[in-house]
Amino acid sequence: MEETRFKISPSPHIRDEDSTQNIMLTVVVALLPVWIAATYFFGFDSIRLVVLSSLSAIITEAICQKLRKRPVTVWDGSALITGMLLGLSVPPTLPSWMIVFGAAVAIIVGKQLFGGLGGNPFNPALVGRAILVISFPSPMSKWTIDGITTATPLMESAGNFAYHELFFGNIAGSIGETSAFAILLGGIFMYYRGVLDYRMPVSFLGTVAILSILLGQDPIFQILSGSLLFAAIFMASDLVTTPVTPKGRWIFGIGAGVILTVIRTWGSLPEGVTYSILLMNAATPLINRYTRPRIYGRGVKANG
Amino acid sequence: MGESTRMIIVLTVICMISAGVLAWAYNVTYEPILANRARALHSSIFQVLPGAEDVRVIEARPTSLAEDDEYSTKTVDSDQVLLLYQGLNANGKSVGFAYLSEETGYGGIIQVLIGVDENTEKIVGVTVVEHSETAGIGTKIEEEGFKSQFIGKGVNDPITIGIDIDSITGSTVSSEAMTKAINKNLGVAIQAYREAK
Amino acid sequence: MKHFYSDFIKGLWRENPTFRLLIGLCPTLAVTNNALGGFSMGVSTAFVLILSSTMISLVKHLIPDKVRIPAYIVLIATFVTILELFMNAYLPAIYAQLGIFLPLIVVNCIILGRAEAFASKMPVSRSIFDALGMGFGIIWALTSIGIMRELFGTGQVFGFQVMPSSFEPIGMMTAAPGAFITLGTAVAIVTYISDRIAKKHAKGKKATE
Repeated sequence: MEETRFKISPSPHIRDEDSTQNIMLTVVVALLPVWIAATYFFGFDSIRLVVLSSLSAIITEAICQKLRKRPVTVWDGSALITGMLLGLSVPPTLPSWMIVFGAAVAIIVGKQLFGGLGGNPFNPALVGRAILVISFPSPMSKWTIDGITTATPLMESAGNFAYHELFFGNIAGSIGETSAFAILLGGIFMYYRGVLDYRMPVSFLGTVAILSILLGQDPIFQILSGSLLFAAIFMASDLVTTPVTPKGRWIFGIGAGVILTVIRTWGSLPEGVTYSILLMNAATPLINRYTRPRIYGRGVKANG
Repeated sequence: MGESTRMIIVLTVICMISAGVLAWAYNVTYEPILANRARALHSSIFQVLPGAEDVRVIEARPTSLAEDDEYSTKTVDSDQVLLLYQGLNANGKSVGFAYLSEETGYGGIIQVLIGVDENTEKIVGVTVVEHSETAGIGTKIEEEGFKSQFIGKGVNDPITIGIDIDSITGSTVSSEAMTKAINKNLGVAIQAYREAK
Repeated sequence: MKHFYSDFIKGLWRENPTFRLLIGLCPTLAVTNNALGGFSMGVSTAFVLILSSTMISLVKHLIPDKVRIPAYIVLIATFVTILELFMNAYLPAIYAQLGIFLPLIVVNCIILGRAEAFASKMPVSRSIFDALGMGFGIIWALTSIGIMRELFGTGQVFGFQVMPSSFEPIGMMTAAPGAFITLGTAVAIVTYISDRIAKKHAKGKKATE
């Protein structure tokens, strides 16, 4: 792969085998158990949505790069991940053309308009999801399980759902977000490969849990329902749109957790995960700036 | 003439001319604006009371009003007052009455105006006056297909979601709130109207 | 005569306040969720702009330089209030749709901008043509944004169904993000065409030299 620009950062640098392609491949493999679980619970719809979404994302990316007269880099896998994430975060009944539209807009508005991979301030998959929710609120909130339309667990009172059902995924929801077990499996794999920093999901989920207890809600229910776990592991861990410093990652996770709890508790939206992460994405450059590590030998009083 | 004197004079003259022009414009438009406002209030009353062409406001003092209903009523001399809008037809005869009711929906208060027929004492029209439900989902309570389900219901057939009323897919909470708002004070309002008549 | 033509024509494209100068964008984004909203906002702004430019150009020699801004604001506010009262009286539906953005025309930088940059320096006749050009520039800009947003957001234009019934409206277009996306796209298209014209122009010049 040809690099068009160099990134300059202070030494020391570590040499390893990581390349964009390698990292992206790890994420794709980590997403597989989620996809398999989704296919088990939702059947063909899961395959249809994820395949269409990925194809749309990849083709749109290639067309955009051609138009911008840039090298076509769709084989780095980043568009594939955007497509898979988006496909997994929509309800199973979503019409095919909507997911194609959503993935294309996610790539155009969420990524290529900002200059492509590395330049985008917002997670493209979440941009796509936000656009779909605003544009087609009704199809985007049609949750079915076994063919019966229900409100998402979040809208019902807690206690109507057994923890093990929430954990394994036999509940209504977006196709990829229901099986906590499969998501954790993918997360552990990414952690093992060094792609996932534990700080992000731990601070995000921890904040939500603590705030839930303080507000008198069921913390386990709050974590397992909705798309929180899926987003905390796969979307908040996006390397481009989240802080690079360890301290910054703690701040990001805590901030997202606070925003999410506020939206869930007092907001009028059914789910706040998308917006909590997007808002923290917007704050990422600021977090990076204020958590920049001290340059060795500078910034401290000589006799202090 | 000093510079500051000139500034004062010029600004004063400009402001005086402006004030004069605005006074004229205000006078010319005063009547039509008042008429518009009355029309806006009346048109939603006429919407829920077919045949009504004029409105008379009745201040009823019902004995037992649902406690959590504080918006459509006001308290006068420690008495709760329910405002009933009596609809009069072209001959000045009453066709029924309308009243406001509220319930908390998904995004805030849903305020509905309910029209009740004079003779049958059944609902003849429902309209949503104010709401802040999720755009595209909860806002479907405003659609004719949903609202028309309430027509023909009376105090003796309590309205239940799922049996009498089809809830809107994706907006269970909004549909339920609207049903509750209509159920809540129907009996009280009919009773109060009978007494006030 | 040549002056009048160029004073008028520049507001339509080359110095279009919305697409080229990028001023007065707050109402542009806020009320263009349908074609009628964009059109009526455009006409309202153009109405105030034409009257205020004419008036300011008429009285410019009487107003001491130090108090010109307050004097202009009083004049503009007067015209806006007259417009507001008459719309409330005779066009209540449009008045309700434009809402707070109607009185906010007072602080629209297009109007004070033209007063400062043009009407306060030029003769009345030229100021009128300048205001007319800018006014029509705003009208077509806001109306076209409104048409695009209403078309994709509801499938209608000026309230008439134009899209086939199988078309699923893209709700985002009538919401706030749609305003930004449509404006950005429109500015990109206008800039692209302008660049093409400028390039052609430069080539033509070279050839004749």
